[in-house]
Amino acid sequence: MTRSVRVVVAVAVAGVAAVAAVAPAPAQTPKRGGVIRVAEQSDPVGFDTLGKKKAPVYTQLALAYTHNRLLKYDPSGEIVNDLAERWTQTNPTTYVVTLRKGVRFHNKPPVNGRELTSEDVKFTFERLAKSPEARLFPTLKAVTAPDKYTVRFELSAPFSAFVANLAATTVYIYPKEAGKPTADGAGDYTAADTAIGTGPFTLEEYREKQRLVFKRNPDYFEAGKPYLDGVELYTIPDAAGSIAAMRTGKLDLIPAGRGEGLPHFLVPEARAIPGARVIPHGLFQTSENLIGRLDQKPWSDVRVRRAVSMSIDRAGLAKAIFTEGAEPFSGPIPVASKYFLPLDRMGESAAWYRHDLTAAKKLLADAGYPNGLPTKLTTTVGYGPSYASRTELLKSMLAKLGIDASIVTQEYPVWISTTYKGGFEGLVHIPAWTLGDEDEWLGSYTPGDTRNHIHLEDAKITELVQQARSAPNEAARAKLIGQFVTTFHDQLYRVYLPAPKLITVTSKRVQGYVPPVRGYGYAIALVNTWLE
Amino acid sequence: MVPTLLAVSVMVFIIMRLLPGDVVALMFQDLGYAASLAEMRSRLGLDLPFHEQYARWLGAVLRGDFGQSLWTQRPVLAVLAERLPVTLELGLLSLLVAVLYGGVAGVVAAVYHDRWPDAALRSVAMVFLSLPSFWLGTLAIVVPSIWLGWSPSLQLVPFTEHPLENLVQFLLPAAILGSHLGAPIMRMTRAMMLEVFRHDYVRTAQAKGLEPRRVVLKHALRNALIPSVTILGVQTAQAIAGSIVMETLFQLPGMGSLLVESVAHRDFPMFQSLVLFLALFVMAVNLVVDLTYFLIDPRTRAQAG
Repeated sequence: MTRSVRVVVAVAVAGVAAVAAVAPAPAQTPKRGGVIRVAEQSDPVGFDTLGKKKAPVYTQLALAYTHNRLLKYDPSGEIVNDLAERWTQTNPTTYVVTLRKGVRFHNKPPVNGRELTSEDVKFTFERLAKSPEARLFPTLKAVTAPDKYTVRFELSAPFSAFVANLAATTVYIYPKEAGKPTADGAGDYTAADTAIGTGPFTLEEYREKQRLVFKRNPDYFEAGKPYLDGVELYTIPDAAGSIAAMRTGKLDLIPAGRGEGLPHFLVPEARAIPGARVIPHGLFQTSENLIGRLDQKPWSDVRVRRAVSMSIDRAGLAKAIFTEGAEPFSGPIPVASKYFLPLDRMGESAAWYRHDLTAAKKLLADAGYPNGLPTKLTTTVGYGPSYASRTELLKSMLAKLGIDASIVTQEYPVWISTTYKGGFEGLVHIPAWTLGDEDEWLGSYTPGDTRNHIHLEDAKITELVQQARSAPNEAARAKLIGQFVTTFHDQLYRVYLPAPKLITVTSKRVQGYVPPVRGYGYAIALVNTWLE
Repeated sequence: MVPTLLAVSVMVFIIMRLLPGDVVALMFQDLGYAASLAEMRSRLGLDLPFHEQYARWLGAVLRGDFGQSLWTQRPVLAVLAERLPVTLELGLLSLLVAVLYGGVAGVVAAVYHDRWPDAALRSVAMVFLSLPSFWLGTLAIVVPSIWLGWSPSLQLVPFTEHPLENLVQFLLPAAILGSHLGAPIMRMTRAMMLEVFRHDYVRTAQAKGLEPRRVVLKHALRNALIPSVTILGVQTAQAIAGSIVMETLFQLPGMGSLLVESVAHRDFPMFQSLVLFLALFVMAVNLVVDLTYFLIDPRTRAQAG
């Protein structure tokens, strides 16, 4: 019913939207001052990305305001220096990072604005080794600090994702003295008063499930930045509530950092806000997809997988529910990745992404199912009501192929503890994934990986993933990932669905904000943002 | 009350563990702080037999130790101390609205029986009864933002800091929830008033030439109120259920949203403690309702005496 209300309201304001839509402001000189008010769906669970527990998304989002990494992704997704002034790879297993000089931690006790040194990086990686994030550096052997500004990383074996993972949104650099003492010396950074970093903003207030207040860090190493005096980050779970708050001047930014973002059916409402800018953009994530178990019939038969893919009307789906635009699919690595293989370069496998019911039925018949087949289609309410409604659309498309899919809707805990662990029968509607480097996606297709829900045990794939991980250089890595992707599309281990544009909305006050492709670090974009 | 609370504690303990969905698998997937599921289960004490887990938990609760949230590691009591006042305020204000609206509208409808005020008030009650409160809540946020340029506050304004602003913030959700809760009270009050109007003593009072307002408020209403007050006790539990939606829509960090989160996360210590506190609250309101009978109805006092 809530969705119905939103649709009604959206339709009602659509006419106004067409008139009120405002073109992006021309380039202007940045201005200092002002506090930007940002909406976020939830708030952090603690302020530690390298604790004993895996850091939730919202913790990573919050620390992007207060902390820095050695490297980071720029808005286009390219890796650039953050705390690092430069880095070199002296041999296949050794990296040397030189830090910027004069970078200071926030002027808060007990750190009191002291300078960042290589010892802080060493300490951070010692913490990391004891945390679940150790998975990001599986061959890391030693981290040393030969001098105040130099950090040396020694690996036991080459690891091609090493540099990229230095930019992961969990690998923030922590000052040793800020943590609460723990027996193992790693420190506990869960409490809000331990959120002391070198980042563009300092955390001034945290009210659970309400808001976080950040203030400009006057000692930030990028001279003159940030332009903003501060950021107020409000927890607003309901998207319609965020739109209403922006309409009444209480919000300036509704970012799209992950998952579905602002539902497209609410975009007309957003466009109707005078001066508001609606920015559709891409995000480094794979799209929702349909899976089955590869060790069970009928999904073990590639013809069935191809038939299901050809029964999906991707263009129709995009037109019906992703009104702001969508890519035909995003997988097995994100469409924003340089290794992504688009349809026009896919060759023969591109046929499996064409909507062709006749060919799909023939494939299904060839696989031994001339009269179709009954199956389960598992989904969850854990990703919101619109996710479950997309499952309904998939069911209707499968029905046209002759697959009678009965929908099984699971509560999120049940979903995680059964289906997400690979314990399911029939088909499953899987959500979009927002991960880090491409290596994380590749790794999910190796036996034993917790995300290998499809039970893929393909020696060729496993070897390609392992070779890509230990590739000596970028050219070799690109070639191996290219082979992986080609094999994947040929075998169609997952049936990827359209990838909608993510929607960021800014108020008329906001200037210079460019939504980053790597959503978890969108706070970085606020460094270059100012208010009119 | 003690046996009831004990029964609630047993029920909630068993129900949470019977629910499909393993908290350990969920935490391992989302938080992953142990090498294996078995290790995590052992750390959380979930590898012990049910009765042992229950005995440990109850023993700790009796000592005032409600444990820590499995997810945030925060002490349950500290979280409750932050969230409880919000839910209590919303719940009590909603019940106040429900009583005022249901009581007044019920009496007016009965007095103007089968005339236009009666028809109008009954229609309004049907609207409040049939429309889900979350739908009304969404409308109450979206429509004023379009037509009046107003939307609710984005954060809780504490009563201790700004009492007036705090009441304004709670007024709209309380009015929506209260009107939903008040509709059955209105219908019950109306029906009982009509019933009482037919009694001889009311007709006698009217025949004696007593002022109509006095007949209605002093003679009729008092006798008609008991079923409505009984409904109010039942409505308390519904007020808590309704607060879950209102708290989410109106950015109020209360126990309702916490309850949903703790169920979704299978956060046993948090959920069990929340339910115990809510059960205590519902029982306390029902106790007050029972005591109110003494005030309203002299026959109850006489029977007790």
